[in-house]
Amino acid sequence: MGKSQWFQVWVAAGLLGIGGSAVADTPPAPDRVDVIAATCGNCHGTDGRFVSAIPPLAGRPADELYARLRAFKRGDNDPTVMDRLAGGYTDDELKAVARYFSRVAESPSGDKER
Amino acid sequence: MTRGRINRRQALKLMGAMGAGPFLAAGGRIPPAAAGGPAGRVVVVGGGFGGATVAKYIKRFDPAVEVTLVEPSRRHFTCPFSNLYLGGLYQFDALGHGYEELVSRYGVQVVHSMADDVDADGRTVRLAGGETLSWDRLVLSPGIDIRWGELEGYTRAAAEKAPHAWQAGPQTHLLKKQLEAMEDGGTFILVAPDNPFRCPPGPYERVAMVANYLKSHKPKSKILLLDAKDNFSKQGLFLDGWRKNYGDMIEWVGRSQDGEVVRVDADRLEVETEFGTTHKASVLNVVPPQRAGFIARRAGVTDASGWAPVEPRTFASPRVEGVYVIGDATEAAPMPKSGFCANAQGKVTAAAIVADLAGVDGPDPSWANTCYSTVAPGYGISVAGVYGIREGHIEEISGGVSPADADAAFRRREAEYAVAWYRAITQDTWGTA
Ligand SMILES: Cc1cc2nc3c(=O)[nH]c(=O)nc-3n(C[C@H](O)[C@H](O)[C@H](O)COP(=O)(O)OP(=O)(O)OC[C@H]3O[C@@H](n4cnc5c(N)ncnc54)[C@H](O)[C@@H]3O)c2cc1C
Repeated sequence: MGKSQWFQVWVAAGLLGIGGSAVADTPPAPDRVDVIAATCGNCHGTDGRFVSAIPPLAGRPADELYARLRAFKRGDNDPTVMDRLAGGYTDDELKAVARYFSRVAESPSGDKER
Repeated sequence: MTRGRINRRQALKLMGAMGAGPFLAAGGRIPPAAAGGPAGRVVVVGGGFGGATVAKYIKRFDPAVEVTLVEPSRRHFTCPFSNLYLGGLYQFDALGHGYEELVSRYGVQVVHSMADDVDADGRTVRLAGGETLSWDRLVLSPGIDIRWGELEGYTRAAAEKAPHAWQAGPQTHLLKKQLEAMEDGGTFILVAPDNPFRCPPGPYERVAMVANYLKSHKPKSKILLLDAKDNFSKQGLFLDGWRKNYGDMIEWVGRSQDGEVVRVDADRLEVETEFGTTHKASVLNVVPPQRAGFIARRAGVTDASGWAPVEPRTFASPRVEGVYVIGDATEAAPMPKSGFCANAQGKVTAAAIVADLAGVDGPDPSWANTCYSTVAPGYGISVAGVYGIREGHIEEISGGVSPADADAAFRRREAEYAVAWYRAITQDTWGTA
């Protein structure tokens, strides 16, 4: 579970009144995938939710995202910078990051997206 | 999760909404948090690209960590896109970003003050008003200071006549006003420094944007770029882009052609080069030598170079325990001094601090950079890189510049992506896109 999923569970548990041991008291320490995914936010917005000429990532199917990332890494898919960036990650990392964004809601619940 | 946790979070939120007041209790010390205590207290100095990002991402990784951000300004005006403002392509107001979302959504305490000093043994920061803040971990992201006087004649007073505009704000307005007052047929001179300095492509984008303004308003004018280096970022792309968009308006003189300026006379708007040539400007823009912001020196994290060395994995200072440095103030080559890198470093360091406070190892770091430069409307170029650690050193894992032979459509897309990037990174850093 990535950070943002943890945050959603944490909020949801609060709404449902679940306490005690049902949900861990502290989030898992951030791992490398959390850090790589956070780095994507620099152009795609926090949680990959920013809508602009640069497409958002949040909530897109993991297979689709992974296929695009792999294509970028090969230089396909008509890239501008993404070929230069995708080459910086292993295929496993690209897969994990694709999975990460597929699980992020397109907009934070109860919160209007900017 | 316990209900107490939510309550404390709500309490923190409320405190945030009330401003920093409750945080600076009697005696100026932060009171211990109620209900079990925080997972740790982090003070961040500087609310620019590095500081605002590290504050936000610590809270995202673990909301139980108390984070206080110290920044004198209510709105941070960014250097990125200030060149586009000079070129007439962006509004100055759109460069300003506030701290409301860090407070209301993430529970960061924001104190609008200047950090004056750091006591590393007592683990406190002293603010300009005399109060002190206690920390378990301290992050410094103060950006740059100008090395006044290092370039002969370039003092604070000189900068009022020959602006640097290398920190966005009054200096940017001054340069814009001077450009507007310049006669058609005048000479704009930009003096570029030796490495390392904030934003390696910045001077070259600056002259392009000045050319964009002059081309439509004062087309008989010339631009002379006097450089202390023989090579610069995206050099081939810039030289080609300048020529395609502005003909021979921009002349670049590298160090080996006597481009290095050794003396500035701001009253006469004259500069003298290494081999004694004097150039007279109508508008003189000096990008001077720089070093880490003064608070980094006060904290003892800088070395003889004026910049702060860092442990590659975490950006912890090897010189002062418990203190981390990110952004332009660091020596992090091959990562450039860019807003993008400062933001990326903020995230890695946030993860490292959260892990450290929890008593576990932080993740293997990964950073990225993309520096877009706008050469002309609809004409953008970029340099990008992904960085990681190999054999204990920061290295570029992948990256490069835009292709030299790209077509007009490619350059147009990169110009569009530059604007999209600016909006996204400012959303990601301050939440005020
Ligand atoms: C003309 C120009 C164009 C640029 N274009 C780009 C670009 O397109 N893309 C890009 O990625 N980068 C660009 N940059 C570089 C970018 O501006 C810097 O790399 C970035 O600002 C570094 O972030 P930072 O956090 O280190 O410092 P800053 O963003 O400068 O933030 C430092 C903050 O710390 C505060 N501060 C300083 N000392 C103290 C203290 N003692 N107490 C409290 N607060 C303090 C300051 O008020 C400031 O808000 C450009 C720079 C210039 C000059």
